[in-house]
Amino acid sequence: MNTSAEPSGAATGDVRLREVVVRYGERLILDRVSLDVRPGEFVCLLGPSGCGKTTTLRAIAGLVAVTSGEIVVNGRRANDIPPHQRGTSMVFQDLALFPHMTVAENIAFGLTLRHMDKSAIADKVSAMVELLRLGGLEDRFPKQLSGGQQQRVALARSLVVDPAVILLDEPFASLDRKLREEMRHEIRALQRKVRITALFVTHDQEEALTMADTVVVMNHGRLEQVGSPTEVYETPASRFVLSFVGYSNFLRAAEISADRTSCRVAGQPITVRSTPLLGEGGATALAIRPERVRIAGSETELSLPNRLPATVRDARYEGATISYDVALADGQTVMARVQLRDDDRDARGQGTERFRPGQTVVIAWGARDACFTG
Amino acid sequence: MTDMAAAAPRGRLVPLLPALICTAVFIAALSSLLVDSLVSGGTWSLQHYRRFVSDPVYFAYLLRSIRVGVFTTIGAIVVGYAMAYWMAHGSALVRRTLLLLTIFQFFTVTITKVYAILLVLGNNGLINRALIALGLRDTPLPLVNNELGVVIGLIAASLPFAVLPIFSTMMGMRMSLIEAAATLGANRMIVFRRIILPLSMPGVVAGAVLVFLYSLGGLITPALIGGGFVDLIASFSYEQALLLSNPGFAAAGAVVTLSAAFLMVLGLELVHRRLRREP
Repeated sequence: MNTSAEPSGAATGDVRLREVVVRYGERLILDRVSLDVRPGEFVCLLGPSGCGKTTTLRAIAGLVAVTSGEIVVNGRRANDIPPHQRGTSMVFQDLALFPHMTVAENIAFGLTLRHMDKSAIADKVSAMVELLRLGGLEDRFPKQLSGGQQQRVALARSLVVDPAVILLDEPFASLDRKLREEMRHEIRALQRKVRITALFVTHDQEEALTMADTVVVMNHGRLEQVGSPTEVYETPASRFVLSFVGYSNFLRAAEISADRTSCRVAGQPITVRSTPLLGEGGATALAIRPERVRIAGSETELSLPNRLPATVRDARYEGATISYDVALADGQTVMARVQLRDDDRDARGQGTERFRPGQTVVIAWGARDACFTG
Repeated sequence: MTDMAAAAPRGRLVPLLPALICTAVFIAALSSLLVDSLVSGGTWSLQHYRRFVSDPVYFAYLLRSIRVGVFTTIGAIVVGYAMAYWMAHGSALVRRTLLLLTIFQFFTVTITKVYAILLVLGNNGLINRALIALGLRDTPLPLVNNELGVVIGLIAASLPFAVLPIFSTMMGMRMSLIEAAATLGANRMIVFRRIILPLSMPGVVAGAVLVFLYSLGGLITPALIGGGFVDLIASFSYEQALLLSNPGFAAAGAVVTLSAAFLMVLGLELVHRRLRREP
C-alpha cells in the first residue's frame, strides 16, 4: 500500500496562517504569525537572518511542527498533514538535487510517486525540460551542471508535480549577481505562466521589492509589515521596516511640535507633513531616504521648503547615481543620492561629481519626504 | 641555488617517511611470504599450492573462512546499518551514547570480549539460562562450538567497522535531500529506499570490506567460541607455521586466501560502481 503523494481535494492554492507559534525548547521562533496568501499571489518573506522567515516556510511545508495556531493550505487545515501529503513543493536554499539521479530522474521523482504510467511521466518531464530550457541536459548528473542550470532543475522538479503552492527558500543564494537578476525575472514570468501561489524567502530587499506582489517584512519571529512593495518602501509601518528596507538617514531633531508638523534640525526650522510616529516612546529623530534629499550649490536653485546649509565630506560614483555625504552645521552627516545627468558628464563622457569634498552646498527636502521616528 | 632547489622536494618527503617505512616492511613481508610459498625441498615448486587445493581437509579451511566471512559481513552490515541509521537520525543523546558504545569496543582486549560473548551465548550462558528458565527449551540451544556462534562472535567484534563508515556517510548526507523528497510526496519508506539507502552505499561497501577482511583474519574468536570445531584459515596458518614448522605450506594457504579475498573485494567494488553510475 502506497500512502504517499496526491493531496486529496481541490488544490485551491491559498495559504492561511492563524496565530502560528513555533518554539524550539525555550526559544520562540515564530510569535503569533498570521498571514493570508491569495491563490496565485507572489509573496516575499523579507527579513534579516534568524527573523523566522525560513521557519515560516518550513512550517507551511510541514517540515517544522507548529506549537500552536493553525495553518491552512489549499483550504484544508494542514497542521497534522505530513509534508508528503500537503501539496506544497519546496525549493531549498542548497537546492537539494539528488546527486545519484540524472536531471531527468530528479525532475521525474515526484511523478514516480503518483501512480502515473511511464509515458505520461516522460511527457510531463520533457514539457518541463522545455519550459526551463534544460534540453540536452537530461542525462547529466547535478554536479555536471552550472549553478543556473542546477537552479532550473530544482525549479522543474518542484513545478512538475503541479503543486498549488511553491515555497522557495533563498534559492538564489549561491548564484552570482547577474544570474540572480536573470533568475528573478525568469521565476516571476514562470509563476505567472503556471498561475501558482509562491512564497519566496529572501534577505535581499531589492529581490523582494522587484519580485513580490506582497512583501512580508519579518523581525524576531513577528510580522512587521505586510504590504505591496511600494507601501513597504514608501510608508513603512515600523522603524525596523524603515531601516531594513532601503537606507535611511536618521537626523537628530529638536523642538518637535506636539502635532508632529515641525521641528528644528541643526538649528534650522523644518516642516513635516504629519505621519504616524514609527517606534516606541516620543519622537526624537527625523528619517529621510537618501534619494529624497536634493543637493544644490546655492539656495536659489532649490524651491523646497526645508533647506539646510551643509559641507560635502565625500562623493561616491555609483554608475547611475552619485552619493554625497554632507555634514550639517551641527556636525551630523546626511547622505544624499542623486541621479547622474547628462551635464554631469565631462567631454570624454565620463561621470564627474558636481560637488567636491569641502565645497559648501545646500540640501533640501519636501514636507512629505521625511517622518518622525522614536 | 641548486642546493636550495634540491632541498625543497626532499624536505617535503620527510613527513612521508614513516609511511614509506611501513610500506617497505609490509611489501618485504608479503614478498617473503610469496617466496616461501613457492619453495619446496630447496627448489622452486608449486607443491604447497597443489597440496592445499587438492586436499579437502585443507581446502575446507578456506571455504569455511569465506563462508563465515560472508555471513559475518551480512550480519554486521544489517545490524551496523540499523545502528548507524539510529545514530545519524536520532537525538544528540542517542548519537553520543551509541557512538561511545561503538568506540568503547576498541578499549577491550579481544580475549575479554570473547569471554563476555561466551558468557552470553554459552550452554550455561545468559540466553540459554533465560530460555530454560522461561520453559521455552529443555536443553540448551547450541550457540557455541559451531559456525553460528563464531559468526555471532565475529559480528559482535567487527560491528564498529560496519557502523563507523556507514554512520559517516549518513552524517555527510544533507537533511535537505530527505526533506526535498518528502515535500515531493515521498513517505518515510520511499525516502529510505530511494534517497538514504543509495546514498549510503559507499559506506556500506567500505564497511563490508573492512568486516570481511577482519573476519577472515580471525584467530582467537573462532578458536574460543568455535571450540576447535570451526577453525578458520588463520588457525591453519598458525598450526602449519608455528606448530608443525611448515612455513611454506602456511604461506601457500595465506596467499590463496589473500587472492580469494582480493577477488571478492574487487567484485564487490565492481558491482557497487555499476549500481551507482555517478560520474
